[in-house]
Amino acid sequence: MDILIRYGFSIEEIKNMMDTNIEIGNIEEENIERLITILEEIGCDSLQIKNILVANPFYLNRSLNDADSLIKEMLSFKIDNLQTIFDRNPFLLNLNVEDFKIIIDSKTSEGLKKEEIIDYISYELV
Amino acid sequence: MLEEYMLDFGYDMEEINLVKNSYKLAEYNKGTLLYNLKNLINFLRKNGVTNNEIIYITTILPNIISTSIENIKLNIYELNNFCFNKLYSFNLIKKYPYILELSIQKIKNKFECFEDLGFEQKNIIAILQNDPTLLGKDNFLIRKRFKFFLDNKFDRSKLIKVICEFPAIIDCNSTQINKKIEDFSKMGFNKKEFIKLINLFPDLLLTKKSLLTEKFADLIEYGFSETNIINIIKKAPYLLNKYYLDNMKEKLKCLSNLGFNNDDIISIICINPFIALYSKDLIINNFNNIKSLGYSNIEIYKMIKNAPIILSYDAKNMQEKIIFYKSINLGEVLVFDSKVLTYSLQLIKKRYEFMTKIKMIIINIDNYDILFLNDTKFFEKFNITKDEILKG
Repeated sequence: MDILIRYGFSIEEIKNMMDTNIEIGNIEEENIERLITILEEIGCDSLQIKNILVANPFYLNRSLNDADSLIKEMLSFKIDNLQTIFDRNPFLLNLNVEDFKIIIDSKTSEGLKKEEIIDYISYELV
Repeated sequence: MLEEYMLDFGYDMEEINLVKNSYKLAEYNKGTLLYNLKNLINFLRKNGVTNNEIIYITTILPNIISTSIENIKLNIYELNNFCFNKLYSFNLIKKYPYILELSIQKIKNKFECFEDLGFEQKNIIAILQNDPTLLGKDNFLIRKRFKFFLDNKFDRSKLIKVICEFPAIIDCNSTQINKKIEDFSKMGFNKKEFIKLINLFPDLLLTKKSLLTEKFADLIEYGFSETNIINIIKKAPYLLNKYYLDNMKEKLKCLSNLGFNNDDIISIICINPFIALYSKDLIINNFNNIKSLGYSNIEIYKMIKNAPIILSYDAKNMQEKIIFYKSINLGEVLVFDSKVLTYSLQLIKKRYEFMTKIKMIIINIDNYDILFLNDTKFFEKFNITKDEILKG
């Protein structure tokens, strides 16, 4: 778990993450690094990254392709400043593109406008 | 003599008759059979095969008694070509005696079949060690089943991983899988949700019992409804892992020891099921962290009940938020409106700066909610976008 230490996680935080997500020990460091890089690229600072991973260490189980596709899909829906959204709800990072589309479709069918759907995802979705 | 020897060895009469009357052995006289059997037993015992395993092998494959030991040795030697060493080869024979009747070409074809599907040699060896009966399965059928999963949106690399862990998945035919899809649909999972679950827990395809009664008896006993549990699984499917289920009672007890009552615990876990995945230490630390920032237990129950996600946040993240809100005299708000703690501090600090320094608005307990408007309403009120605020 050298990679997490390099990103400033304490031993206790890493232990908690490993207790929560028992698969972490089997994930290649290179994968972890690339998943963290994805968060950096959307603007997460180190505190936000730590908050996201401590709350949702299952993000590290995601394939790079899945994580990348989700973010691209969210950006293409014009949801920007994703760092604040994932900092608020780190579990959104577990969604697949399909899950995300289902949320959009469901809210659209409820009659919400695009801006209202973005607000829902940003501030209400739990 | 033959029957007596076999009885002494541990065969029962049914097994003895099965061996004696098998098509090929019926041609041999008892003396020759006894001689061959003794040699075979001697050879297998020397290679770590137990008496019971010998009985199993010879009743499954009686012809082995008439096969010369040299031929058996040759078969085992040839298995080396597929990276099965002597120990692995005998393990294969114990689990699947028919391997001794398979031609090298047939085994080679099986390896090629799996390689074509994307398996690496080490995976194939692991699968066959795990379930050597696959050696006898028709290659066309294996390809067809594999394609069925791919057609149902399984990721190839994940599917390979799944089959390595649970080779029996290949035995599931489309009728069985469609039946499972139907069972899960009755519980409230659509096909996409089902596939997502199976990707994470392929053994769900193999289990015959009901998902809820088998895995969630503890939660049902605690008071969670079936609908609660299904929604929890949808939000946090990892909970299906035995590790978490085995520790479930301990987690519920931990929350109870912190002072939450049963109804609160059910409500908190339904909203934020990840709490049930955290270690006991993390839950206690996060609770005590809020306490150390000056809130009483009763205030913390209220805060967590109102926004269970705050029990997930990193302690430092919570500290920064609470210290900030206290510094702007909103510490009291956190108790009755703890949802403000779920907002990104980066955004709220910028909004606060914008309102107090540019708009000259004094934020207090009567108007604090303007800090937490959604983007549309914030724009309508102050004519500034979230992006402009953050860059501001």
